[in-house]
Amino acid sequence: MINTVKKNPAVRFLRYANKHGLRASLIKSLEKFGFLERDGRGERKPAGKPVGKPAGKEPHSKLGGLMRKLIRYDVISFDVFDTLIFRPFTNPADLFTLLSSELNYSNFKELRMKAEKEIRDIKLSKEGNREVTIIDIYEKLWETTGLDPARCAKFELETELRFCYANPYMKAAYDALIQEGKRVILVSNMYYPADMLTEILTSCGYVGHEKLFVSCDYGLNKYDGKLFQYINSTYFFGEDIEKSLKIIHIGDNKETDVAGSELAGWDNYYYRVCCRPITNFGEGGLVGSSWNAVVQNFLNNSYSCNEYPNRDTTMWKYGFKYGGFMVLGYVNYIYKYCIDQQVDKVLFLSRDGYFLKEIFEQLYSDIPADYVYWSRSAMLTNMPEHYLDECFNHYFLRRYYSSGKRVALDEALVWLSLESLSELWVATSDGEQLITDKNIQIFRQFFIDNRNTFFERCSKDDGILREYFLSIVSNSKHVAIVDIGWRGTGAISLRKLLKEVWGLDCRVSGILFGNVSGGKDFDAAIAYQGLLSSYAFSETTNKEHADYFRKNRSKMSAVAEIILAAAPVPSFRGFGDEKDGGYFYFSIPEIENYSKIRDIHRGENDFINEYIQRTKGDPALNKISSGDAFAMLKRLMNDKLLLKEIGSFVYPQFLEKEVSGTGKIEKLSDFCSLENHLDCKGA
Amino acid sequence: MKILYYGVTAYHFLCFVLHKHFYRQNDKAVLLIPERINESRSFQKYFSDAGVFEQVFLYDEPSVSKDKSLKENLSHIKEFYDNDLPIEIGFFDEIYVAVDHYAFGAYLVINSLKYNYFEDASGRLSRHKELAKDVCYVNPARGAIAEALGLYGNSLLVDNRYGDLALQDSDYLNQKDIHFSVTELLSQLNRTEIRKLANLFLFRHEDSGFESFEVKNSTILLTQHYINLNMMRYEEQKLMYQLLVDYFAGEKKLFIKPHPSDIHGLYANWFPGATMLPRLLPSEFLPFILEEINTVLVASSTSTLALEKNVKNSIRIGCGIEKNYSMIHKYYVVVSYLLSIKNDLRYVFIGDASQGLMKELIKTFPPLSYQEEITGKSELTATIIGKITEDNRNDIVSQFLSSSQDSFFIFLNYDNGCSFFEHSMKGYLVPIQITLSHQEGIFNKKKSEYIYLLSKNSLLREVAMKMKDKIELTYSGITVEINQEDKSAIGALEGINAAIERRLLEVQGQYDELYSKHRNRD
Repeated sequence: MINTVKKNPAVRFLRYANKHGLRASLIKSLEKFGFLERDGRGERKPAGKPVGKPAGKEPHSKLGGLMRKLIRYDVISFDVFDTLIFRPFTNPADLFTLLSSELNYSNFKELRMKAEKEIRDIKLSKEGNREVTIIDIYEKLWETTGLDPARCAKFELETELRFCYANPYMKAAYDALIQEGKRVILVSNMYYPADMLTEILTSCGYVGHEKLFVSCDYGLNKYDGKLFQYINSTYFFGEDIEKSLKIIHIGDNKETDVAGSELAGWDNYYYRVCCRPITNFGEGGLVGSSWNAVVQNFLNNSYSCNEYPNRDTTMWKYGFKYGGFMVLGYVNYIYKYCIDQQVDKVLFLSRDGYFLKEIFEQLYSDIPADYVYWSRSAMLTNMPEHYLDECFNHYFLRRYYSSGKRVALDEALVWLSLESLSELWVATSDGEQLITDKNIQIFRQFFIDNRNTFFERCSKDDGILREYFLSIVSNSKHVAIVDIGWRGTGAISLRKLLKEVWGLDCRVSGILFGNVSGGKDFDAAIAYQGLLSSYAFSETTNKEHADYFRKNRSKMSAVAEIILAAAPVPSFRGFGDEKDGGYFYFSIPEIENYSKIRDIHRGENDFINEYIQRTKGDPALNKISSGDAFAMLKRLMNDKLLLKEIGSFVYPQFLEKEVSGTGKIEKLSDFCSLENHLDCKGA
Repeated sequence: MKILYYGVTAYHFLCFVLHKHFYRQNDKAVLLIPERINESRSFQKYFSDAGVFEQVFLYDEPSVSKDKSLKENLSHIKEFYDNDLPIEIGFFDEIYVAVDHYAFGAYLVINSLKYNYFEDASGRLSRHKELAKDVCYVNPARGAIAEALGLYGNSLLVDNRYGDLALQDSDYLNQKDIHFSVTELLSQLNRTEIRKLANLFLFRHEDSGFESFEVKNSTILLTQHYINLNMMRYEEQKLMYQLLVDYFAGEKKLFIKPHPSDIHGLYANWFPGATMLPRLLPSEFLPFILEEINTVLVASSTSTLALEKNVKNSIRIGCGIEKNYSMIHKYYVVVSYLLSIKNDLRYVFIGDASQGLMKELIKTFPPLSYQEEITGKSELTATIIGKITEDNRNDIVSQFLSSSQDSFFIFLNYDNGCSFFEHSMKGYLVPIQITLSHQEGIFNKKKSEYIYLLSKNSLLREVAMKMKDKIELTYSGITVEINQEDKSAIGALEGINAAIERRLLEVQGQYDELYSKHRNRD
């Protein structure tokens, strides 16, 4: 995405204009001459271009187009690897890394690749071609390692069999052609002889083809057309002339498949390789390689997205490409923590845990999980006496800062539900009608002194609260509370409630995606005491990530919260009193965001499903390190298209100003200015 | 006499072969086929070898582009055919054209050449508006040309129109029409002649052997090429047909006859154990090569019309099923409800609710019966509502409020947004939760959908509140479950919640509009 943006001439021109102070006048000119127009929200967009998906026809079926082309041929030839068959590795040699532990060589990949190169060079000098079999390669490797060639070859083949999977696009075309009675042949440059390659093909469902030609069986390669010419002169001998045989070859390599088949007089169809390399991902290594391969093979194969509905929205793609990876890493971390710490119940806090719980339950049904209603707002509503400072900060201070540190007295008192004390304040403060930096400390003390008035707005009895939580955590010996972050207030406050206020005899710990809270000492203490455990970063684990997060908090937290922790439900505000009917209070639903959030979740769900299937749940490929997860978050933070999409999110209704689409993301907590007055009753 | 035939599908060629055989046996005939159609070379070879036509020509057909104007496209067509047509049109005494909306038909009209028209498919003479809609969808440029020139057999240059008049719409009449029934003509041939003809369409030597199929107590699914027409994606077509077979074929043995142009469907994979019938064979042959067809199932094609006399049961859902197939579970739940109450009902369909689907499902579940009118003293009405819009909402509400005690409304909630909820009807409303689950990869996916019963009759509401049913669909792998006892309260609240969301979204939309007008004024 970033490379595309950089190369886009329009973008480069705009950057030039911006740099030289021409942007504003340029944009005005474009608007004047009708090249730009404003949409319903006043945002500029190219004139005439519809917002979102254009109405009308659904996307054309690429597979349909391919079939209409292929059906006219008498013989259809397919390349094998990266055409019919995918592997979940960006580089095929990454497979060798998985053989390392079995064969007890940490540098097995390098040894294996070196042996292959050497034997190919020897073959070229002796016989004039570089075609070798897998046994040849391992016999060469045996010279320096003593590894039994037959055993190694068998082991490598078994690993291929385990991980190779069919390209759904080509599989559908292949099956349709076989069903139509068409002649199908396979032509591959490979070191597996035909019998071994057939085993791999069969395991991927490719049966019924007429013949498989492998370069190592004939000592001929596709590159110079010789293998194709050999097929013409021997296999199709006579047929070409008598039947005007029309043959087409499909492959992903321009030199071997396209140019090579052309030399033999065949038609060809270039199928662009799906898995394109990436650079500089995370900690590098196998997981990054697998992630890239699985994502790209899925997105680019022309079937998995094209032939399914609802897999073409931007937010689905972000969920699939990025979010699912982080969610999977975090969920795996949660499970490992639960096993190591003998957790017998996991509580996913609203709303952050909404989607995490869904995935956790699908993957790890052996540990009971619940979605529980609790939030910072609920904490302040139901436990104000324990968090008075927090109440002041939440209901007054952040709005005070947003208002430029000048707030009218009446408004300030309303925010804190102290309207009835207006005269008392006037008497106390010499009639001050404005709260500014000059008197804010006095105002704060006034609030503290009159806290009982404030408490009247909060919930008075904890009957509903107690009943609710006891029904969830009773009989549990160790409960883990899952949240995204960043201070862990949700987990800590709930722990306080359960253990301190109600005296439950139950171990309560918290798990966060990331933790940047009250300071190094506090974090060290809670980490060592096992109260909070953080996946991606904290003050004591991956501190450089925590420092980076702190520096870029406004953008990073917004991205993380939307991709990982958003939910298509309103925010939970607190528990009502029993005399009021015991309602659960919710804030206004930000329904404008819901369809995008659902798209993100669907994308993440699809990724996790696909990734686990393709990597076979192999531990080496599924242990997503905190470094890789954080690297993914960093990637997202610099993705301008995503930032623009997120810029249209609203938090919550009745914002004084919308988040702009200029790339500056404002913190979620900077909104909710009318929250006090907008309670919505639900149950 | 020298005759020219032009067509693009196997059905067209069958019409031409029969027409030649029965009406122009001693005349010389030439067949013109666009090369780009599937199997064009095979048709050319086998028809030529069999001597059915004196010559069979393939040629490149000019394409039309939506980026060009009508005038430019017509000029291109004229120029192309003037230069590149492999035949001399003036040489022919009669021209027969199926699909005059292709470039060749346009060329004839541009040059004021008279021709005879064969219907595009069985029963399509009276349904040319459906054809026009399909053409405009698939190729808007071609649709524009057809409309401008008045094609689809309606041009003044058409002498005669051939089609099966028994299969047209009941109120249809056109003076130029001549009855031409493929089925009737085939029945006049003996078995050997039919077999030889069928082998031609299978690109086999006419004396080749022919398989026999045991089709007693079976269902034959006739497919359509939605993927080819860009109307559906693969997975959508797959799911649609799997659901149709699951609901309508029951336990019967399944045969599948793909549409001749449906080269994309992987029916053998989608329906393991089903027997595939030859794709290229026009379905009109089926009664002559299969005995005792029990049930024929089709989504929306007219191809069953020709077979209806020869089958015990014909199921044709109707247009729009390709968009609304995922609603079939909801219709099933309605039928499940109807099984619990009396079935002397008149049905009314509002808001895109599918009469065809409802009717066919009811037929699948005896003792239910579908009646257009009911006899008897009371008029009990079941109003089935697909979508609620701002246009029909008020009407529906007032209809309900004025309805009789025993009538009921079922809102199918097509957009799953529960936009129907009206506070005044709260007491009459019973949400029915449908849980759909299926295995997708490693995940067992569950989804809840809702339909709503509205009735002033508490007994009818009670029946809905106690509904319990579960079916496991074989081919689609979906389990459909209704269990009102556990979930009605939660379902209602979720539905109410969704309704509130929907209303808020509408309000937000109005606010945006006002805001935009205000800004533009500034």
